[in-house]
Amino acid sequence: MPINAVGREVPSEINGQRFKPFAGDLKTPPEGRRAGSLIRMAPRGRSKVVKSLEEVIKKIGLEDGMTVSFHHHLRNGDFVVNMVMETIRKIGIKDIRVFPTALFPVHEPLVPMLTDGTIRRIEGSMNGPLGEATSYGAMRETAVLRSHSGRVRAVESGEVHIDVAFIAAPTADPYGNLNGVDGPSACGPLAYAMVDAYHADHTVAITDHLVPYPAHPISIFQHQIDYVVPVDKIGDPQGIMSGTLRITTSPSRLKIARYALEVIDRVALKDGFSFQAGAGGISLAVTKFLGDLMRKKGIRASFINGGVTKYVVDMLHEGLVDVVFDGQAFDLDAVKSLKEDKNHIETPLAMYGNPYSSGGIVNMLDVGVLGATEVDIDFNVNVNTHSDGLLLHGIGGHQEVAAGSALTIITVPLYRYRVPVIREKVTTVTTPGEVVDVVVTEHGIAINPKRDDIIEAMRGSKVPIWDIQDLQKKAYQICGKPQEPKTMDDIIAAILWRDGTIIDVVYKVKK
Amino acid sequence: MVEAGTHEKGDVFVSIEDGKREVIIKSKLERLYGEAIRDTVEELTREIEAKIIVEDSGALDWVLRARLEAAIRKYRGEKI
Repeated sequence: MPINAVGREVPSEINGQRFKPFAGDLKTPPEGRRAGSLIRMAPRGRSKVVKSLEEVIKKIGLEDGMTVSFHHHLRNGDFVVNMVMETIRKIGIKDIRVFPTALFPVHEPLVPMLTDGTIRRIEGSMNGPLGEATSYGAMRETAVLRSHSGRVRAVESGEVHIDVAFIAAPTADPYGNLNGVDGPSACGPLAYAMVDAYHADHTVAITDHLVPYPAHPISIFQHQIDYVVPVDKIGDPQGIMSGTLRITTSPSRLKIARYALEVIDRVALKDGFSFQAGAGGISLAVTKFLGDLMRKKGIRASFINGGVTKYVVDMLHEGLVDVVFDGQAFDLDAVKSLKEDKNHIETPLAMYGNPYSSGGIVNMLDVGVLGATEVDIDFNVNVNTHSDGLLLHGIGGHQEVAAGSALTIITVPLYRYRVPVIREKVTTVTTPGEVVDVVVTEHGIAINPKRDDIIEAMRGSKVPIWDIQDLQKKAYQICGKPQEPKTMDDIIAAILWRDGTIIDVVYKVKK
Repeated sequence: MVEAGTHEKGDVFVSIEDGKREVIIKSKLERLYGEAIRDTVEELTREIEAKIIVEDSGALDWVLRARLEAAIRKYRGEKI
């Protein structure tokens, strides 16, 4: 097997499909033309409403081996994936490739479908039980994980062809105009689903809020939707929205946020700057502190790319930032703002960070603050596996935000409970060290040696500056050196870089 | 039977009861620190002829040592 640019041995074939080894960001040029979908013709009539999922699946003619897709705007409150997959199982269709943007613990009912023949593989993020089951070898074929933008690229390039896109729609009209800002299961944007609506051979909207024609605003337009299926409930609002997200109260996490803030202040803070916001505890704290600092200094940002929360919305409405780009809303404040404020803009995921496009939002980012499960002494980051080897998380937008941002900061505690976070080698490489600039821990920061400008900017700061190897040693000194987790030779998942090259693989774990 | 510690994350629960020497260790971090935990438990309880149960929720080594010491002292009826 070839060794890739981060020193990992990777196969050249996954599930019978050829993949190149990771060669570095923007080192593998694209080839070919964008892929298309089946050209369809709508029959006469003013309604695309079909009574049940079973009926629509039979109408479309879903067959063994086909690919079905889903979006994850409803997150851990989603009912649609389970509903559709259960219908497929009942009809007796086998060997389905499931192609979601992400799955959550709520999708645990898919676990038995991995072994009963319904699902041959999942290509998408698997947060929790499905990832764990896959780690123990439950999936017949190999899982493929892509970042948000990598998934868009895969669809546009034809690497993945979607036969049927099942799109959860918080609001729909009978002719297939959809939005996510109204209805009992409102989720905000429908950004993840846009590429599916455009490129799938067949498209089905599933809604619990059917409104008279035309639904408005419109996120996904009628000419891309073949069928509309009304159901009782597409989701549980408790799981869709995170409620009011709270800033971390942990003193050490707050210290990390303050150190990160000082790096931003010294390196990037100026009028018109831009940054990526997230919903993690440290990330929220950085956003909040940054807002306070901007107010104090009289600085205004040009845009925030989100991951939108109340904290971001408050900054927009206070006039601290001109524009919010929204690919995912985390609370009802974000949903309301998206609906009402013209400077809060819903962005298709194709605009986010696909390297094989004419340029994404991430390329305009001055600052990206990201988390990690592990970081190693080469600044490589793992967000997919735990240190015991279990695959438990997706990639999200980690790769493209890190690659695009002029200043990429990884905020992590030195260790979590007894597990060192800064390590000699990460268990799995999600994001290569070449696109990571500063690692911030509660003990101090480590700057990527190739960023002389940041080293210079931090001169005279009270923030302790460490060599990353010393940070790693400190972590091992506190926790003790961990054993090498015993994994088996079978590859259960491939981790793709955003350009579709293989950056790493995940091995089966012995139960 | 004596007990020390809790089942909270980052802590470890230790119990010692009369009986033949037997050491039972359960840890969420078995794959990463199973050997290290066994070494510490062995080192500190070597002379205890009793049933020792250690349920670890990710405690650092010095936390484990402190909990073991507390349990041993309680078992011996010493003051803590």
